[in-house]
Amino acid sequence: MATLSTITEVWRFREVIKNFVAQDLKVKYRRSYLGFFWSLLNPMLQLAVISAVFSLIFKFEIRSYALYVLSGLIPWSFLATSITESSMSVISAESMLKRQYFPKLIFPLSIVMQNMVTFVLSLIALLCFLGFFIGFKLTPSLMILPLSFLYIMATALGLGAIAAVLNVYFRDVQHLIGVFLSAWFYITPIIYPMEAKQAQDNGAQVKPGAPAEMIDAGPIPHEYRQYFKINPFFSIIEMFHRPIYDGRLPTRSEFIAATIVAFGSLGVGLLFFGYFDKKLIFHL
Amino acid sequence: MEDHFIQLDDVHLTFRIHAARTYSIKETVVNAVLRRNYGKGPTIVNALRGITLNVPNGQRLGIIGDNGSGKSSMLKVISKIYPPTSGKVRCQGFLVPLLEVGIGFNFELSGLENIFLTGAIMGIKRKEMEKKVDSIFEFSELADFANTPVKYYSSGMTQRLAFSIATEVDPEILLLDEIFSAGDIHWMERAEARMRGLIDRTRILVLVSHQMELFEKYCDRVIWMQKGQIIADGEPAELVERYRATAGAGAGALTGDVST
Repeated sequence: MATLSTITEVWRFREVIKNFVAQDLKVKYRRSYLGFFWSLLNPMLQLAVISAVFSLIFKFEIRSYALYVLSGLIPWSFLATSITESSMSVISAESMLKRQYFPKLIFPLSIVMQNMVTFVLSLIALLCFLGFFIGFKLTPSLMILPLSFLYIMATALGLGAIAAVLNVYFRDVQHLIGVFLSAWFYITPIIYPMEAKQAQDNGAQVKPGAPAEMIDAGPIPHEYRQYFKINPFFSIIEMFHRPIYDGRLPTRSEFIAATIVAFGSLGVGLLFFGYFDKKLIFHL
Repeated sequence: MEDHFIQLDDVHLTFRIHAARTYSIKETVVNAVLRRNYGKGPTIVNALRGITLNVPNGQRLGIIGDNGSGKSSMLKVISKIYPPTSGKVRCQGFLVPLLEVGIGFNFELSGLENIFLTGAIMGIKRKEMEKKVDSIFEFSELADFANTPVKYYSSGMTQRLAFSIATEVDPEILLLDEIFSAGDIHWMERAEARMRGLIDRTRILVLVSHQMELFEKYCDRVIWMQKGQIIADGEPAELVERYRATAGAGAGALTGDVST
């Protein structure tokens, strides 16, 4: 029940949240002339480096590989940034919290919302700018993207809320989160594909009529794939890979997994936060 | 006519201060492995012990007491900053706690943007805040710097802006922890007049201060706190007199509970 009252409190403070989000975005994009476009430079460079290097190592066809990386990397960056920044959110609001009452959940929530705005805009912008060059196609499957956004936001908020609480009790959690997330980045298929889908698409490496195991060859051997699929972030990232890169909907099992991960993270996160909500002020 | 009130019913506030504040996983693990045990358990501080208080509409309440007697804790419990350990706190009315001015300023943003931000934090809609902007800039004499980021303000200018915003609102319940106004003499006089205006507008005032003359000036009831309890309740003039008398004797006044 603590959770329910937390949520209604947050709604009462929506004006404050709006202001926090707006001011952060303003500050972020104010100082440069290019503003928002400046923020696209970083993912674009990252994308260029990863695509160039790994298409060489793995011998992927570079254009379609770039689209693959883009469709996974941008959502991942959102998730990682949101969780990292959320973990600091309650602590850095200490001076405010000691002088006036706020429902503490508004701090991770503002962080996630603010990152969400940047994320949605940059994903759309990057697809518009680069899409043509790297073989992005408009398909009806893109209609699922709003749901993908919703799921990844729920996941980010749930995990961010947990991180924010943990960091109040143990101030070194933020460092662990950094290490944890970079490890997780590598066990999630983002810079490498699970299946050698691009080979089929381009017909460049695999000739028609090749044995089935050749077509299905990917960097990850068949027998290990199931372990990769246990990774809760896998299904969330697939919600973007599938429509943007594959041009089709996520499989039924991926969709179910993503639903469970999103609602699970959010539910556990809110329960966890609600339980500690009233105790946090005494530990700041 | 709405009824505004503050009601505290047998409120206790207890802090546990851990002697060895292990604030990191690293330390916690190391301590557990080495079986170190700092601390004889947490120190328990009873900041408030069984406070029952009714403040009806229209009342101007002053709180006197030594440092660490629980005055500030009382304001923080009323404003919900600290949830009480036990007991009930009920308030009705638009509450503005001015425990310190200038909270929530974002130094990257301009003075004008900070006005809206502070307004939102205090629970005031943007539309309402827009009506107050002119008056805030007029009083703070910062109209020329409205679009300058606050980080380029001098500390005096920042204070002036914060004070002007804080005193422009129309609270129904106003909590004041010391009447703050730093600045030159010319400013101090204007600030005091403005503060008086704010105090006149609010329905309920709760004032904590060490300046005794303020209680006689602004309050019609004073409570005296010691070690987290109310030990006297009455007329400002009479209580201030009695309180001053003990201060002269200094009788155990400084052995009160740990300051919060």
